[in-house]
Amino acid sequence: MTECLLNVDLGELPGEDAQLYALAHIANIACGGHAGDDASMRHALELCERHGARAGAHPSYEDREGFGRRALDVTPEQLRNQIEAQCARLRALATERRLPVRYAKPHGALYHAANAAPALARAVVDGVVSALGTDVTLIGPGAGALRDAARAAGLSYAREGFADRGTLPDGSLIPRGQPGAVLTDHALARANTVRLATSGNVDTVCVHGDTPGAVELAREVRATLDALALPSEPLGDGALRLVLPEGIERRAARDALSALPRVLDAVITEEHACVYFRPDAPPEEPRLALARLLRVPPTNGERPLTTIRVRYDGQDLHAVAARAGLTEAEVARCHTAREYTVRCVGFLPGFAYLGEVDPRIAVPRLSTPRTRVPALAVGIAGERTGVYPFASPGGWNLIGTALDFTAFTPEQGAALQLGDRVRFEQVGG
Amino acid sequence: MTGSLDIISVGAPVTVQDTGRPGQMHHGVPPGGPLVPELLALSNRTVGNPHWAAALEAFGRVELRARGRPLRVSVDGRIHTLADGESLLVPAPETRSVRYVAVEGGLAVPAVLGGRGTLLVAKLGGHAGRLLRAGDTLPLGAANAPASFQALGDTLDTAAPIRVTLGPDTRRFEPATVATLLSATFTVSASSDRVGMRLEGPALTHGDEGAGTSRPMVRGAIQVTLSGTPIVLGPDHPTTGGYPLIATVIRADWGTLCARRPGTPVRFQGVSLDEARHAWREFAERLGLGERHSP
Repeated sequence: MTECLLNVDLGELPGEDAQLYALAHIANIACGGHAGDDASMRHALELCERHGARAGAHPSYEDREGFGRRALDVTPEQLRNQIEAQCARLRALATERRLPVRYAKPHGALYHAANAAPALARAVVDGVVSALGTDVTLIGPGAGALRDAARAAGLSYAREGFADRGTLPDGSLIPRGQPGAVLTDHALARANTVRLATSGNVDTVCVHGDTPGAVELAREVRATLDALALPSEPLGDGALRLVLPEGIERRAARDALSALPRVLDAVITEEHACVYFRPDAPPEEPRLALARLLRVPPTNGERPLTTIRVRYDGQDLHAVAARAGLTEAEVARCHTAREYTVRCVGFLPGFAYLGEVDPRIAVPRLSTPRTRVPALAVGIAGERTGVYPFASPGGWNLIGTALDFTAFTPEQGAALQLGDRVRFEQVGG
Repeated sequence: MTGSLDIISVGAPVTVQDTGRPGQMHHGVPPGGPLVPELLALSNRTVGNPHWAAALEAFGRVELRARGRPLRVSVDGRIHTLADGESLLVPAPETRSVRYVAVEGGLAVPAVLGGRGTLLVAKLGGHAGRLLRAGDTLPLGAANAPASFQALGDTLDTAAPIRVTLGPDTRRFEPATVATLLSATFTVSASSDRVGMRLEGPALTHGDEGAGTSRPMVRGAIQVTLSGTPIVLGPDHPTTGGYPLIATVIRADWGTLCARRPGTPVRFQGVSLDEARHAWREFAERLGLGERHSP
């Protein structure tokens, strides 16, 4: 699935929230037709530049009084000129900031009128191309005259859905003014976004900047789209491997995924989360659980601290020291100087991957793994360190031996859990 | 009077196994379960046990004795009735990798983390977490009502192609390598066990340096080592690993793969996820796997 982008109609009203520019992938900037003037366009372009939204033109019937929501009787020729003038005005201001304008979307009544009338659609496209060139994506309804005209002119076309608008059973929008026309409930907007973004018929979803609670709504929609854009790959017929979003709290991610209906187990590794289920009962979109977490980070207390006593006597201690240009005692000091966090639990029962190791002693794993590493050996591999809970094959550099440490018990499972804090303490000389 | 089972002698690794301990991977504990789910189910059912009951999984000969009561014993679905004190010699498997020896009432070793199976690497479950040896005595559960059981057809076809879904790391291989996986004939290596089945055949080379961080794993995943050797992860696989996964064996075919002895040919056939799910539903229905403890 290609990424579905969030577009927001902006630069229309005084006092709009600048956060919307951080949430939108595309800002449709009002360029004087229904709203907006040079000052508002400059401001909108500045916010695009600062927050990373891509600038788009949002031309309209020339009807500031009616906010572009009334169908006007203009000839295609007049319309073409109006659209060209509005887009060119935004283009000129954008050029001052060296910002490209690569999107265009007709506003309000024109959006619907042009889509129903090929002559008007051609006028819109001609005006857009005249002002902005052909390296432009036209945003409009899923099918109709606008898409046909854009294609005929060689423009890219993005099929739009409305995250904050209710739909009738036939898929058409509930007319404004009727109950359910505007969705302000976040759960409904989220469900609507999932439906649109996964339908295969929508390339971009819109949140109207003037919908009540637009910022929160846009945040909801953006987080949902971001989650749906993350790779999610089947790992056979009974598991799904997801890429962990950046900045997510790993333990909370596991808890949230394992609490989902039909999920039998959830595992967090360095860059992925994996959910396991019966092949005939896959869970519903688990990425949304991660999106919810990103939006509302958990307020966990500090995780417990475990101190593990270590005798630095590993078979590879000398080699690690030599490679690092340190003495063996200095390697031990580097290893004990830090507090580590459990990044993942896996490989063997109770094996905890701890990070981050001091870069001076972060040596790569052995090129040929050992067939047998003794239980309680303390190893380093890259930026990770850990204690082997059982004798097993292993490729980590062994620097010491943990004392009085039980990594795994049948009653409790793994002693170290995701997010737990760990320190090593040197014993003996 | 529940009785017990004496182990008189063993000729090759024999462990206690049941349908495993799903849901513990986040502790680093693999799912376990039988190498050949359909044979464990068959053996259990023929002595009136639920399909998930603990039984012996034997790579070789094992000699048993009933103690404390007469016993009905099923060896891959063939029933033997032992008087109290009578012994039975179960010969080494001839056509398959393992045999399952189920005893009416099931082996009542303690459940650990929701399963009674043996996980050797962690010395967990089964009988003291280890291989069985002469002199061991295993407790038995109460015998169930006599099985009103209709003989299951033994449908294991160890010559059938093994169905896989491609990926998830297919992109890390050249298309020609993926084509090799799906067209070549591999053979089961002698160095295969419950952790993984190593396959001999053409090398499935990839440019991966193995520097990748650890990723989630699943039984059936086909990981490819730096030298290009495919290893199909078995029930006791490490829960995470760094090698790329070229494809994953569908669950309905775990048993028809793992029943193959060293030297047996293996060919792979790509299927869609929908086909895999359909095959699983058929498999689960045929074996009567309920919600609980399905393998």
